[in-house]
Amino acid sequence: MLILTRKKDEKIVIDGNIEITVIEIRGDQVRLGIKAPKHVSIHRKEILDAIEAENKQAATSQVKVALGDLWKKRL
Amino acid sequence: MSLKVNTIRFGTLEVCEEKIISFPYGIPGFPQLTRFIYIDRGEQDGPFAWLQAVDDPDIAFIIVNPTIVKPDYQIVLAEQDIADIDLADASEAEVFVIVSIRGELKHATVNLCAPVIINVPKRKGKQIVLDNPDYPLRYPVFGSEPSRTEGVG
Repeated sequence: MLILTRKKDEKIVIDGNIEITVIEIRGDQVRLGIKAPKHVSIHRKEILDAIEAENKQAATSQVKVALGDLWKKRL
Repeated sequence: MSLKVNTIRFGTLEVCEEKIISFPYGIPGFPQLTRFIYIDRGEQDGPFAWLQAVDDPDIAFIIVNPTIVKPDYQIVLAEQDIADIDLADASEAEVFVIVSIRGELKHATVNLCAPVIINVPKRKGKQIVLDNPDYPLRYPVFGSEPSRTEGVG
């Protein structure tokens, strides 16, 4: 892993077309500005991790059940 | 051409190859699973259907049209998502959300944050990630949890 030190308003450029700016540093929080081409997907890592975990739970937890009966009971 | 798909829930299914939906990027958590089949058992599952992995008998997701659970559900697809599933027109797309069951069935939740988009004619799919705080990872299907009524009124 490459580790760089940056100050407020300083930038990092990745691959020539992705630009990350340190906008604000307050206590233990850092606000970042990211400029990237539209095809680059940018997400908070914990959200991606949560989706993976949720998928794993969803794929393996269900029993073989007539979901329709349950749906009717709800009404 | 048809092929046999082994599943732990539905036994061995004979499936036309054209019926296979390809997920070029897999599904988060299962990047190796790129082929799925859509299983709709009709009446017995009500509005729910299944997305069964072709290459892993154990893995099947319960899916549902999100508007069944949240009538005002709306998504905006990113350009890259549209390109990834070769979508030419919005009318070609079907949107589903994945159902998660923890313990009792009545506590089932849907993942509104990461819907599954399928290009129906081209049979290509992708699970996308939305950045919308109104669409949580676990939204109750049956409205038994207090969070269901959050933001109403």
